[in-house]
Amino acid sequence: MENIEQRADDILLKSVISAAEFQQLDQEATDKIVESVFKAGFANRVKLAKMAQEETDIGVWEHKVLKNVLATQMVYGNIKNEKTVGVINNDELQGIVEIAQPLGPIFAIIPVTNPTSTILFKVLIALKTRNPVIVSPPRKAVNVCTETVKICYEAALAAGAPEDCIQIIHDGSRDLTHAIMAHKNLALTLATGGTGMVHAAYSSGNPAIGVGPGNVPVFIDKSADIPFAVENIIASKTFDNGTICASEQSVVVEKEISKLVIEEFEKQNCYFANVNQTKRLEDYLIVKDKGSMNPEVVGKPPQFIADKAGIDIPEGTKIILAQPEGVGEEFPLSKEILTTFLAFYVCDDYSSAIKTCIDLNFLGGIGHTAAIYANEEKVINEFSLIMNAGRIVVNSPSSQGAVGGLYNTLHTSLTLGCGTGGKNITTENISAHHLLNVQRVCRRKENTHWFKFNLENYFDESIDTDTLLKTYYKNY
Amino acid sequence: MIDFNFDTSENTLNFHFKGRLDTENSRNISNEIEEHIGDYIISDNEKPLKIVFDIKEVDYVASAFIRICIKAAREVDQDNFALRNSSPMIKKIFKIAGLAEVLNVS
Repeated sequence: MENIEQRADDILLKSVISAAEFQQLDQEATDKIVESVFKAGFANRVKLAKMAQEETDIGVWEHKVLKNVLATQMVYGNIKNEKTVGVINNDELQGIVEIAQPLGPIFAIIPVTNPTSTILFKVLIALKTRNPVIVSPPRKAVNVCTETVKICYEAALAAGAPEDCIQIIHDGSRDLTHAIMAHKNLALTLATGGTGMVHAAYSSGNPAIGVGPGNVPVFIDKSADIPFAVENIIASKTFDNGTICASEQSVVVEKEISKLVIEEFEKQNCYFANVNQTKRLEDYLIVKDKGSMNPEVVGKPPQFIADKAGIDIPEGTKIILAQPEGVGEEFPLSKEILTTFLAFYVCDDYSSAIKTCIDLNFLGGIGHTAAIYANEEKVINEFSLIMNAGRIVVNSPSSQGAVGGLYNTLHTSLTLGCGTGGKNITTENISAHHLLNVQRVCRRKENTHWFKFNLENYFDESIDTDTLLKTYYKNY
Repeated sequence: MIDFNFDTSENTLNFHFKGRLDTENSRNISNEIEEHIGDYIISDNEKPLKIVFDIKEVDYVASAFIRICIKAAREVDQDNFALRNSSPMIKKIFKIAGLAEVLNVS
């Protein structure tokens, strides 16, 4: 244990010294570093994507290239003109000046599903805010994470960044990870990953922005353009073989249009499992004792799943669908499964369809993301008001929609806030502005009501509230 | 560029710095500082060595310089190393690094 603590001390000492030097850089010097890292990451997008796919055996390398583009080009586009050093806002009318201060060392936990893109994203937003980063790679992606960090670090140093502004712990044991999370010199953990690890980050005693799992329902309303909806859902769910936590998990439709939707999925090369096959899928996709998805299935193509589950599917199948009989612990296929599988629910009417979406939303995905296809504003509004999700993605692929920048104007992010439902402090897409301590210089601007009001009135209990307020807000 | 000079008074090694102690400049002066300290230790003086870094006219310190300070401080007892005449900004830098007290920054 002493050795672990010593290692954590050494890592954090380097990081705080780096933070100290970083504090002296101005906006121009900071932006030069960010631009250099962006360009290096972008230039290596294909190499890193191929390495990630080969090392983890998860997903599709071409899609990982696009994720790397999102994490570099799109993220850089979002943040490059943002003020993150010194005075970032001056409201003369209100007499408030806002000054940005860095947080200090940030611990970046990286998920196996999106290793390179998450590093590129977290490094860019951390450097933009003059915070050093310590990267904790997943065990199955240590080599590609090390290479990604090396590329970023060399580019940062070449542009004048402080030494040790990016570090990686190559053999991060659970004990070392926990020791760093709880270290007195750490400013923040940026945790993306499983529930246990995110919970550990929140329990560490240091601030954390953690993003856990989702369980995204997608409702196809009667008013939707069905072929368009199905095409978009397929594009989203097959993206990197379903590894993004914002990808659709369950399709919900009313009985009235269910036949049309099923036919459209089949027409677009998706396969509906029968009752017997559904049972086999359930046995394979979910680890029975734990009740959670089998890690082996993450980011796998349909043929792989079919072979392992022992079912026959047509050649060229894009997604396997099955119809669980309900939602909840006793229906494992209603849970989050990050692969090319979708649950499909046919409901009697609109009301029961929305209630099914609520059940799915609350089954491990509260606060994350929900999706809807509809051409009735009223339906979109009703759905949005009732769902408990940080992002309600409308008429767009949920995976690519939730991460922002492609189908909408959300901040492009690989870390999606889930609000208090997901034990997060925010529902926003995490970006550079979340990594700043903003201090406010407040000039004297007197509250005229307060200074005109006789404060003695507050001590007099015989004056009723309405009279007090009327006097306080009197227009002189 | 960095102006750097050195003098001794009794058992104290005084190092005076002026300018920008960025990574490159810090590396350039690192060996010379080590040699001066090494020479004193080899000379087998009876009095305990004191080291003072005067950073009155320094406006930037890189992590490489902070490491030089840590290394120098390790050569003597904690009370016998000091960083003197820091600007408010440089003082804050050492506070952020958690080293202001250990390195006796004033």
